[in-house]
Order: sequence, then C-alpha cells, then structure tokens
Amino acid sequence: MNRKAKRNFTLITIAVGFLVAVQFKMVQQPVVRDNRDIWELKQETLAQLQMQSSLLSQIQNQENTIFHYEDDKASAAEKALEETVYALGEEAGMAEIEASGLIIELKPVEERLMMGASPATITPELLRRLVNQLYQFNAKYISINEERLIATSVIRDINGETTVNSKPVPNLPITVKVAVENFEDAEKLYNKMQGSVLIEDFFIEDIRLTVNDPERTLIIPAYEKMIQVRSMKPVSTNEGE
Amino acid sequence: MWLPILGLLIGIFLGLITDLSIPEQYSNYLSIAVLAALDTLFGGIRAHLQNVYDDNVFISGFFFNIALAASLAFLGVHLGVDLYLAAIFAFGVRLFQNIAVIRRILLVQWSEKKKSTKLADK
Repeated sequence: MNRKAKRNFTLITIAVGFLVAVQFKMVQQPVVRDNRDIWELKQETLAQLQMQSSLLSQIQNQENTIFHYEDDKASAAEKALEETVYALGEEAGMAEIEASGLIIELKPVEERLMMGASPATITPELLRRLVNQLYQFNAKYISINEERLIATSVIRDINGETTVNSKPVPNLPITVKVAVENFEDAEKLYNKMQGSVLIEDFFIEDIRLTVNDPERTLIIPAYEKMIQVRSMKPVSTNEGE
Repeated sequence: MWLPILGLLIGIFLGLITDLSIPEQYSNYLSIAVLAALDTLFGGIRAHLQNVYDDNVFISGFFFNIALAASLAFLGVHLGVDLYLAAIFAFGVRLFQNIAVIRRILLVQWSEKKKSTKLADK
C-alpha cells in the first residue's frame, strides 16, 4: 500500500469511526424520564377522564341520532330531522329555554345614593366580566334584562351607552338570568358566585350584585333578531357538482 | 495496516467525546451514511487486495455514495415511500459480497503461504 492510499484509508476510517460512534451514542440515549409527581399524574388522569366522558356522551348523542334516523326511515326521518333542527336552534339561541338556573340582580348601592352619588350605570367591561365568569362556572344560557346572549352577541359601548346585542341596557337595576344543565349545577353555580370576587368588584363600581337562590325552572327568552350567518353556506344539493 | 485501524479508533474516540447528537428525524440519514461509509471502506479493501485500487475511485465513491443514499432517503421521506430501505438493501448486499471476496482472497493468500513454507521445509 503506498503512502497516499494509506492516508486515504486512514481518513475514511476516521470518518467511519466517527459516524459509527455518533450513531451508537444516539441509539444508546436513554428514554426521557417521566418525573411528574403523583398530583400531576392525577390531574392528567382527571383531564383524560373528563375528555373521555365528554367524548362518550358525544358518541352517545350521535348514536341516538343515528338510531332515530334508522328507526323506521320513511316516517321517522323527517321527525329526526326536525328534532335535529330544533336542537341546533336551541343551541344557537333561537328557542326559548326552560331550565334550572338562578337570577342575578344588579342594583345601585343605596347608601351611596343617599350620600349624593349619581345613579350607577354598568360599564360594558364589568358586564363582560360577569358574563365570562358565568360561562367559566358552566353557565349554558344567559340573558341580560331578557336579552338573550348567543355566540355572536356583543356587549359594547355605543355612544356612551352600554349595549347588549346592539340594544341599550337600561339604568340599574337589571336582572341577569343564568340557566345551567340541572339543578345541582345551579346550586354549584350559586355557591361559586357567592364566593366570587366579582361581588366586590361590582361594589367598587357602586353596584350591588345579588345572587338569588337557585330555581328549578327558569325561562330564558329566545334571541329575537335574525342570526346573520356570514361565513357559512348551505351545501349545494345539485348532483354532479 | 495499523494506520487505518488507528484512524478508526481515533474516529470512534472523537465521536464519543464530542457531544454531537442528531435529531430523531435525521437518524435514518445517519444510519444510511454509516452503511455507505462501511460499503466504501470494504470496497476499497477488496480493490486493494485485487490490485485494482484507485485513489480517486475510493474517495469519490465515499462521498458520492453517502450523498446518493442521503438524497434517496430524503426523496423517500417526501414521496412517502421508504426509499432508504432500497439504499440499505443495496449497501447490505454489497457489503456481504465485498466481505466474501476479501475472505476468499485472504484464504487463498494464507493457503499459498502455507504451501510455500511446506515446500521450503522440504
């Protein structure tokens, strides 16, 4: 073997050795250790369980729908469709809701009025905070002074007036109706609201937030206006398209 | 003979002391590069033993094979076909053939040497 060949062989063997060592090291790398403690694991399990149960209930709903469709197709299909449309309308806010829930009253603080303060009006920020908090506490349907909140509802300031769905909110007192899934949830919501910092936040703004006892049946009005759908189109039923 | 072995040891040593780690998704490329390098190395040894060794062929083969194999694997990833298996197969087969040829040549050399020492003894 001449010098040049020897040198080349050495260079190539260095390269091979390097590659093999890197590959070897990569294969030998230990699996990343799971060092979460038992509470983190429990939380993870809980989250997964919640997801599982929600998925299961979704599956059940879908299966029920399928069952309805298949059950005597000729006559029941129409009914199932109607039910679906009704359920969708209910979800979108187009139907009146009768469910368990509670009424929240927002009144001006009388002592402040006596001291000569001007009657309080509610700001959109405060109202939005209340609504967000209620949704966080599992509220399903909300109406503010008989004005139903839907997915596209906006609470904002128009020319200095607080509006809900572009309708001005009158001066205090106003009532907020909140419906939840069942009476137990209403009780939970009641307890959570009693302990919420919102009551103090409203008090700072001279508004007394009173949470009334949960009620078994509460009527939440339907959304009155037409729901404008901008970014959805009906599926074309023409064949061959 | 000892210089390439020393080179191999130096390479392994370098690879182990440098903290180089390849991301998971590129591990295929590395394994193919290793195979290509080994293939070139054994091809070179065989060529040397058969007295057809050429420097340029050896060096260009090393880089070209690695590049080809890596690009084949890259193409495979983007086409959704495991093309790197083709490279592994080709290199694997060639590796075995080269090693078999090397073994035969060494065996022949060894037996000839034995014969010649026997003749010399007589």
